Amino acid sequence: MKINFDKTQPFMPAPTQGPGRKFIYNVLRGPLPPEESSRLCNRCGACAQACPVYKIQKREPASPRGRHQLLRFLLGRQFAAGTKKADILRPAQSCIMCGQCTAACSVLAPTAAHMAWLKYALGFCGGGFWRGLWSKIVYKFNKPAYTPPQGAQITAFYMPAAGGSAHYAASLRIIGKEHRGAEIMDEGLLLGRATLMQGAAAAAKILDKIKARYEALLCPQPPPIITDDIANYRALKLSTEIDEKYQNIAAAARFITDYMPPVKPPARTGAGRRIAVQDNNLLFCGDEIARRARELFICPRADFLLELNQSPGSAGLLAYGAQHADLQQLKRAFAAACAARRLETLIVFSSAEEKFFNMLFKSYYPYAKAVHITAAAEYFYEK
Amino acid sequence: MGNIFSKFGRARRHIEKIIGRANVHCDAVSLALNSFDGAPARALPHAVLDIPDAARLQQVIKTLYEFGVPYVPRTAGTNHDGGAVPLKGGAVLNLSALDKITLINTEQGWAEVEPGVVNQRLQDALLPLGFFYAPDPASMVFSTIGGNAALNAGGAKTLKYGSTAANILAAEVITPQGEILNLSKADNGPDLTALLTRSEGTLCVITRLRVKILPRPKNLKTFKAYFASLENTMNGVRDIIAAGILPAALEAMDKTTMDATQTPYPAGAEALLIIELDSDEKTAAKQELEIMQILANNKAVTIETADDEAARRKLWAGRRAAASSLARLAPNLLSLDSAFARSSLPESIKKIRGIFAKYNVRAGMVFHAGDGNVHPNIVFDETNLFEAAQVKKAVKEIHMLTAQAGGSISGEHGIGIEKRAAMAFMFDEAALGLMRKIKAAFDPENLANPDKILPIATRGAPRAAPQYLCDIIERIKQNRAAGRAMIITGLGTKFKTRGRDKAALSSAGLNQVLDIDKVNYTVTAQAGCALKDIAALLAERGMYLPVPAARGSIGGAFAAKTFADFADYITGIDFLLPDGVFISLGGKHVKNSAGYDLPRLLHGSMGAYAFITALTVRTFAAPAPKAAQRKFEFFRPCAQAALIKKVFDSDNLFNPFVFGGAQ
Repeated sequence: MKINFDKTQPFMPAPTQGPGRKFIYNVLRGPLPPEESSRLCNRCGACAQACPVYKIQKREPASPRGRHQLLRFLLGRQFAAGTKKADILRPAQSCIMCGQCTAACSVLAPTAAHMAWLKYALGFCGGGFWRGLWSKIVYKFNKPAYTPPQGAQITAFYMPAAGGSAHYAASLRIIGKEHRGAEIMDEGLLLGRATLMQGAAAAAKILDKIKARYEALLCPQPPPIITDDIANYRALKLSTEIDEKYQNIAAAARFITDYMPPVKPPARTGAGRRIAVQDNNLLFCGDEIARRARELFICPRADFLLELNQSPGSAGLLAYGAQHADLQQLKRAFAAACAARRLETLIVFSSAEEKFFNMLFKSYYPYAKAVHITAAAEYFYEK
Repeated sequence: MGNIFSKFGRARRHIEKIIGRANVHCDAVSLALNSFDGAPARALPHAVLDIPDAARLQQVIKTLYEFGVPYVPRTAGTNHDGGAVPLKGGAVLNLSALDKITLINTEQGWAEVEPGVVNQRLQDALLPLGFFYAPDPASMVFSTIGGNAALNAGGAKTLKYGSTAANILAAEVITPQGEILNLSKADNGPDLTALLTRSEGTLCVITRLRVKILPRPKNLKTFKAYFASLENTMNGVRDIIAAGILPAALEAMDKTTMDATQTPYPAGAEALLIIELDSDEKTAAKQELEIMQILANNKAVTIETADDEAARRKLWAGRRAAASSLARLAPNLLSLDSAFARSSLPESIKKIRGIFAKYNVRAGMVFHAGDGNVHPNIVFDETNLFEAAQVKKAVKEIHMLTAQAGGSISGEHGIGIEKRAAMAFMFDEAALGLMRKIKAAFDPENLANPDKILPIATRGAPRAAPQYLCDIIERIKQNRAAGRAMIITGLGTKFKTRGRDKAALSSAGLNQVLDIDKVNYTVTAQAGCALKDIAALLAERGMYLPVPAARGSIGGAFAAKTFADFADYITGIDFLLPDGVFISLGGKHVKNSAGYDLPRLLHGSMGAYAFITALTVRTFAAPAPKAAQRKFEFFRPCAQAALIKKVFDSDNLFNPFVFGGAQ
């Protein structure tokens, strides 16, 4: 492409080609993040040195800026015909969703959330051919298509955790029992992920954007917003700190556990319990989130989690996020524990991480398996 | 993209043999994600090559040269000028993996680093040793030293310690033909180190740098003052410089930027000024009093001070994040970096703000106020075509304004492609032609980072030579017509004209001091002025040259490289070429990273390249420390110096004995 630089021309058209016959965008399975979210980045590059993957790979596609721009190009339909899906997925897969880039970013661009979203939209489930085929079939008949909520008809909003899974459908079913007009609220993804990565401060920044949409959606007495993601829940509850107007939102927020059937407390000993203390478990969560989770879960379970965390059999708490300076050390401890003890179960607090860790384990730690916390409830206790 | 029809397609097989198949990326996503850097421009490469080490980089460049594939070196890609955008396609050389700090020598005060080392990483490595590396661009946490060197990045500390070019002692570079060169600033002869490393990758690829490191100052004191208007701030800056105080940093910010950084500030504040002193305790106490007085005179609203590290960090936090936090305002950022003479700073800023108002663009202003460098950071949305067009017009006008005010369109970001067209505002055809010839001499195939820096068109009339040079130009022209070689001398302290038949061209007649600017702290003198005379004139006004007053003329001291770091203090230079063409570069602005570094190239050139007629030098409020005077000796010209000789003087007319002509 030839561009004339004779003129004073600080801006140039992007020299990429438009969509062709074999069109990558046709394979998108779900909605992508809103475009304004993908245009947050001004390419300053401050995120790259914060990204643990970039520090090792030293390539632009492995940097948060590259990932963010990838989404931007995708949404702008700037990839040429015949672009391979695998190529587009590679930068997304290299993201370990640690959220350090968001911490380093001045606009707090939620790149990790975007990548989770992209993986889902491109139908990545990490299960190989058969699982991929199965998910395609399921998708064919069970489209989680987003339809804008219709105001008063809505009796509840459901804000799922990122990634989407079987658990996603199950939760909706549970909510659907109580609320006939339950709707999925996809904007929540952005909100929830950003909060998870960044904590209160980030939530406040991103909330401003999302709140505008809520305002249009919510009447003075909003229907409950039900979420299965602890981070989403936290973000919603936090919204009161910013503006009194949003107290309604905070009041309407519910955690999925409110709708789950009560669980039998575990037997301290004996066959009632699937996991014994001497089994190797690892609890994966941020400190703050863990605290909230304990508050949320009813007493016996909270006790159980606490016990699990402190028990001599567990490998210890693996924390993550920008707040934790000793991230590296913890990761090393984690790897050592995995290698030494044939680690079996990892409990995580969001389904997106569940997917990520299972993918990771497949190649590195063949004995380990990650379980989502709500699914873990079923995993741990006999019905 | 890597198909056999493209130029890279044919070279691919060979390159895969050198760096391995896994390091050659030709997929659409890798290409798209290497098509941009920190600037708005974009262009797709044909391939991205991850270079594992310097040795293989040489082989890769040789292969690319053989097959005629253009290439662009790239490390972090955080520049503001589109310098890492592969305009002609070809290969992007990803040098980020060359990130080793190979050696730190605290005794002699240097560190050896590879180009991919992040600035902050070097600082962190030096911290426990009690040293620091002076250039600290605001992006130091994520920009690399290779990139800093290529663009002559500045930073807050540039005011006192000079920008990156002043802090590079030696370099190992690879020429476009794939030849490894070891260059050193201290070598006799013209300073090729600065010319090559500062060329934004258009003349060479940097593979190793030896940078100057300095002991950390013990006594740091930081002030942060808020003002009710930007004019007051700039007047304050001017007064501080005029009082002869040389702070380690003198940084300012306007209200738009203060809002964007989200740091709290007192009500009614329109601008802030950060002043950092690192002089010894006795001087600092005196300077502190003076600064307080100046700030009070200029109606500072609030003044905060910090002595310890934690408080200092707090004061600096907002400034460091200034550029990137403007992203909060709009999705696109265009960061300009005009540099002005410090005396003209207040009115230039007023004009720039007028331009913003005229085109209704949103911009935050950040200033390296102490060295007259202004960053109008324009935020806009490129999808809004009207807004983008307005920004385009405003940018053009700012560049024209800068050129008219005698400033530099780029103080520290470099030219790349964003400011390329504006180079024509700043340089006339003669100067640009010289730079083009240098590029063509080093890189005849135009493969190394092609189409950067130099504009295609030139505009405006050539700069007229001043009246006092008419005779000399006439003589040069006559000699040239007669094919007579000329021997260029200053006051004759270094060597005497021996040839009878050769026309001696002495600068002894050019002995006027043209301008002494007490506010800007610069002096402009004709080349034949004796250093002692200039020093005496300046001493009356309480100003001092940066070098001791040695024997001989100022032009002679510069051309013969009498003092190793004299070039660091030269802000402007006028010279005549062997065909009588007058070229004037730079001016009274302290910072400059526009175009090739010709002033540094002439440092130590022994008059073999050009006849220097006038120099503008930074001055200081305290006498220079006794610098070691270099022993005068002729240099043995290397092949590259000879290449440049051909560019300047193809007939070998000026000082022909230097490049081996008949003596």
